[in-house]
Amino acid sequence: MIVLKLLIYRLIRAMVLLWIVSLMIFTLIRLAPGDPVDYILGANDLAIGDTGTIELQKKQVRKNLGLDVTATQQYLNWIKRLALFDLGNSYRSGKSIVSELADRLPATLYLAGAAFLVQVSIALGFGIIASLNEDRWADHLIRLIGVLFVALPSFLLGLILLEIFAIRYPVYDMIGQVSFKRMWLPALTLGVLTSPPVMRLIRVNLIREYSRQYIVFGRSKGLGKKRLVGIHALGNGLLPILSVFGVNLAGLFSGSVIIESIFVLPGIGRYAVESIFARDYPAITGYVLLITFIVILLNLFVGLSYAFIDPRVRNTGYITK
Amino acid sequence: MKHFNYLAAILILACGIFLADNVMAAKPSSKPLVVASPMLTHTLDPAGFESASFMRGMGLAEGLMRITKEGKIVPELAESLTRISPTRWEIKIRPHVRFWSGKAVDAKAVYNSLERTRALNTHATPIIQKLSFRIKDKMSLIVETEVPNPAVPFLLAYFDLVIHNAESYGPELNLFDMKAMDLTGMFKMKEFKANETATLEANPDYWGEKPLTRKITWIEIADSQARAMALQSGQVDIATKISPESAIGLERLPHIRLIKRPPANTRTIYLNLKQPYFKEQKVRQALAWAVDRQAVVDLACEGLTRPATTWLSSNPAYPETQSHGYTHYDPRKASSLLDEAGWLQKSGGVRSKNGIPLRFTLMSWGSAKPVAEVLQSQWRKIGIDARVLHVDYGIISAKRKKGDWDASMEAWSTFGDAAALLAGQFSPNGPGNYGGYNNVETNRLFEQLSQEQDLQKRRELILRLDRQIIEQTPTIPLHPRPYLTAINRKVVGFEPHFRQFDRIITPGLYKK
Repeated sequence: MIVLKLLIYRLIRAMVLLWIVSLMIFTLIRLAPGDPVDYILGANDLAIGDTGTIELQKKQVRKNLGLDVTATQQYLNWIKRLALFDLGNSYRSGKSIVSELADRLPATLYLAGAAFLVQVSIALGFGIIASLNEDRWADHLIRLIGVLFVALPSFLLGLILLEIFAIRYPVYDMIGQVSFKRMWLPALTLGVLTSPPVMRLIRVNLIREYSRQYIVFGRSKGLGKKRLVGIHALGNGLLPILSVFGVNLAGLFSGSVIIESIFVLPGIGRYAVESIFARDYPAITGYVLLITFIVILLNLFVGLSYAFIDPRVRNTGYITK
Repeated sequence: MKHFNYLAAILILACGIFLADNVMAAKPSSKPLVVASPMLTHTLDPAGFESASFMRGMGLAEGLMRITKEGKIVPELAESLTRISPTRWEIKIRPHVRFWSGKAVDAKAVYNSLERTRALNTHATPIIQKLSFRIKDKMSLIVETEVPNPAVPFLLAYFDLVIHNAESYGPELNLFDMKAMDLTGMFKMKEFKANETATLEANPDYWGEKPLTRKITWIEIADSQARAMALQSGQVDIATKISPESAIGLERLPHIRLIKRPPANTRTIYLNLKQPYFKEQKVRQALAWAVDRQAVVDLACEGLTRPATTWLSSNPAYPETQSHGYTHYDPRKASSLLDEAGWLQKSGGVRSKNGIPLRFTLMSWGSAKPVAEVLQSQWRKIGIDARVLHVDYGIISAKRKKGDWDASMEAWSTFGDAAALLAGQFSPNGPGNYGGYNNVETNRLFEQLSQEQDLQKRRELILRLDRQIIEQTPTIPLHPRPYLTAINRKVVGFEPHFRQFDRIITPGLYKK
């Protein structure tokens, strides 16, 4: 019952949030300098004719794109279409935004999912080792590695790994369909680079857990280190990190633009950047709505997982407050 | 004797292997040729946004006329183009040409294609509005212009006017229907994934020279460094539009060849002539003389292009313009021009006049930032303080509309109907005349040019205009924007074209 209540509450909140985001993005992109019509007509690389003809051309293109009415009218038209799950058509390709995003989503989902696994594996592994070796050389070394990963720009690590695995020892396919052969290297790059903050958080949480009475009690009862750390300390220590995982996963969806560009992945991040440069309003709005939806979904999932994992939450419905 | 026989046998075998290897090497590989470019065609309809030029480059589509790599206009799907009166031209369609579907390319099909382009392709408007078409007979069309226009061959070679089967595409834009795609090129589109890949197969019924390559995989790789690496790894055979920074690394590799043919465009600084300091011709000239173009090319473009002395000098059809205008670097002349104009320098600082410092903002975008920075340092040497503002093109466009700008950079194409292109840049109503240049003598020459029908006299007028404009210096020419293509040495028959998008694929191109 509590979970159902939580679901309904989150769903209503999600709808309101999506509407606010849609209004904000619709307004903001129109306030940004630059006109999509200029982009479309400027792309022919020729300044020819006279300003009168160009103005007529612009008028025609503006009409074709539905930009010849007031911003309010444009928003109302857009909302009407949105109610039918139609995000409009791209100014550049003329293709429906839903189908363009659907074409590009698999690459991003694959990348974000795989990178998340890499991130969690590295963070858990190094986090546990560092916590068990607090202030010893292993802890310092892991901290140093973490600092290095944080300081390394993603494009640099990406290019270095490409140089090694695509050119010197050609085991990575730079071209081809979205598959494990194409995704392992970008996922590794993204996962490695985003792991340090989580790694540090796991270390700190575990160290805090080790000093708790139930661990001291377990140790005095003769429980093994593996059981104490792997089940008891980790189980309790990971609870506060769940929400961080949720936020991180959302970040991986929206923040993999550079990785997608370097590794030639047709994902939504690259699509968003290209759309922003071209002032492709429907594409930008569609992308932002999709990312907002993913973030809402992930937060909902994290909230629900709290309810399932922690009996205190399940019984009190704390998370809905 | 026995040893001699063994030796002879080994020698014969070695020669045989060597010969076989060379014969094999000269043959086209059965593997597809892989091309990587920053963009693929946006749509499958030649009337769609940014599609026709890509289709031409990919060997999918053709026009009535085409521009050769030497800059000549030659018939393509037209067999001939003849001027029959000052305002009338006759096009004879090449016989026995068929669309991929097998439908004959005759006068009706060409007419329908051109009219469909007129109705749906807004890009083509400035070109096609000058022309009206009428069918003369089964294989001939008449082209009419309102006023005498000797540039009709150029207009018909315009990249958006590709001939397609209008019936197959239908009256509306038909952007992603592969079945509707019906063109005449030497390659046919087999598979297409927008913004990702395209697979092309040789057209067995092609009317012209049959391509040696049977299959091409075209991949969109937006990042220049990634394109360079894909080429380096051997996964790609041709990588177009490589940035100068990436090209430097590739040039050193023995298995890669870098093609450096500068394109027909001129990166130019546009000056807002409404700003008080740019109203003064001497200041504009001083800015232009103070630019060491070779240093700009070497430092900002890694030496991979060449200086441009006037706006038109990057056009291969007007090589004599390379001796006009700013042929060398002359900072002394620049300083004395500024002194004459009353912009004086005190103790090596910024020049000023009536207490106003000679200070302006130069806006750059895209790959032009290093160019702007080199210019900034060169101008500083003669006491001009240029501030570089590297921004998104939308901001430049918005600022220009408001009039809130000093100087900005563009690189428009200089090839085509030179009279129309110059008018686009320097006549009062020209869409590329951002700075508001309006000069009586220049306008008179434009008027004279519009009346002149004799080709030789037109050429002389264009050259006079070029000299007149550069003397006034409403804009400062710098260099053609570097356009670099890198190819694997296994690729044979690549023909660099100064129109970077034009005919990337030619019949003689193949991979060993």
